[in-house]
Amino acid sequence: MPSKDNVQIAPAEGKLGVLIPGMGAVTTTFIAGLEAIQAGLGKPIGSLTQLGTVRLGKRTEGRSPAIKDFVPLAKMSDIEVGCWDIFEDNAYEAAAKAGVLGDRAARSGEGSRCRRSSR
Amino acid sequence: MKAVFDQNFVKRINGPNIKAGGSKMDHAEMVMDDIRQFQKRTGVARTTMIWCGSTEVYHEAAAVHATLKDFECGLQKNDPEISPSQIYAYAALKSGVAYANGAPHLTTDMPALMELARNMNLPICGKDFKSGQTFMKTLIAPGLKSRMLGLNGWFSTNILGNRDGEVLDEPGSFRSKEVTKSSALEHILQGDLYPDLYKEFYHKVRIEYYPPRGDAKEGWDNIDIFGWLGYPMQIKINFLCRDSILAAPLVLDLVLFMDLAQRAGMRGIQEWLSFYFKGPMHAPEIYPEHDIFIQLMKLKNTSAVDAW
Repeated sequence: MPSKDNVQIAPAEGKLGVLIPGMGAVTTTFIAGLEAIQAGLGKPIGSLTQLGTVRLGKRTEGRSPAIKDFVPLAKMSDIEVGCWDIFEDNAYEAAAKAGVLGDRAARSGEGSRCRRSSR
Repeated sequence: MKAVFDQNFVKRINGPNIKAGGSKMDHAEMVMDDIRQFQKRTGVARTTMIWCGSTEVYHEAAAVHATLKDFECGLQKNDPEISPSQIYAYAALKSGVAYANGAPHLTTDMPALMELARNMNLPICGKDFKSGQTFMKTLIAPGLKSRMLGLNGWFSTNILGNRDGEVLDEPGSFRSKEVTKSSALEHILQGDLYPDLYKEFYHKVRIEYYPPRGDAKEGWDNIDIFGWLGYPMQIKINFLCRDSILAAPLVLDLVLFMDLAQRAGMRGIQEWLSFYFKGPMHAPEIYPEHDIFIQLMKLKNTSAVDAW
């Protein structure tokens, strides 16, 4: 278990590669969400790292910073995704087949991130 | 990228975009090459891997999973006990990439790959995203226990029609799921500590593949509880959820936290990420923590300590 005396964390500099075996419903919903959120089309509902807070000290101190401000996490905008899948569809085609998202949100997964991570 | 695929481990689907020929070790090397190409093409500074593919059939750790040496020998000899997900995890860890398992099958929860994670100073976590019905279960059960209300039985059933549902329609894959879905209640309710309340409850979990629903899965829970003097009561939960809408934010959180863990030099099983999993990986000498409120506290404590 880390304690505050012994943890050294390298800073989250540069981009973070996320490699995913399986580009089905979950993966395409994740990828399209990254793009849609950055384009201002939606919010990262359900994500503790993006919406959660952590209370510091006593309740009377009133210190509850956002987790993403307090913990040195990589930013969503720094994520690059690459996938393996048994089907040859691109991210948009796979998202359309999965049928989770409306066409507008699914198309946001066609952005630069997915072209770069083409299969 | 072309996938590593083995019909013996996922029976209900098949596709053309797969790595051909060679041994399992050849496939692992092809995945390592894919990782290098991806890193070069995108210029990423760090990389993490997370399984979001289909659930493989249930199998337990065998002799080939005992040590890293056995496992590498098995890769060369095409040992039938080595699954595609294990090939990906091996390739990731050999490449200095952390590995998270979003499905319930056996991947890094075996001695050989744990040994590799330790050697490479890499974090691993799993398994099986806690997104829908088990999420509900691990919310409700701690509440019943907090009020010292008893449980006679818990019947859970689901209908879903996405690829996950199709794969889980096959008994071998369902068995993997059944195991992770079943263990949560026992660990939360601690029948040994509370014999009057939880010694003998009947727990049944079903999943039904029903294509018309697609990703919009529906879970029903019937909970038979009892109160003062043993008088019975019932709770019914009907959760009309969207599988991937619930799972996508878990993928985001996990990759960000796994990247943090790697930068903090935290290696091996990341129990503080149990919050995200139906079957949390844990050290052999302790039981897994399933209570979502305790899981959240552990998560916040660890990430906040990290940040100081």
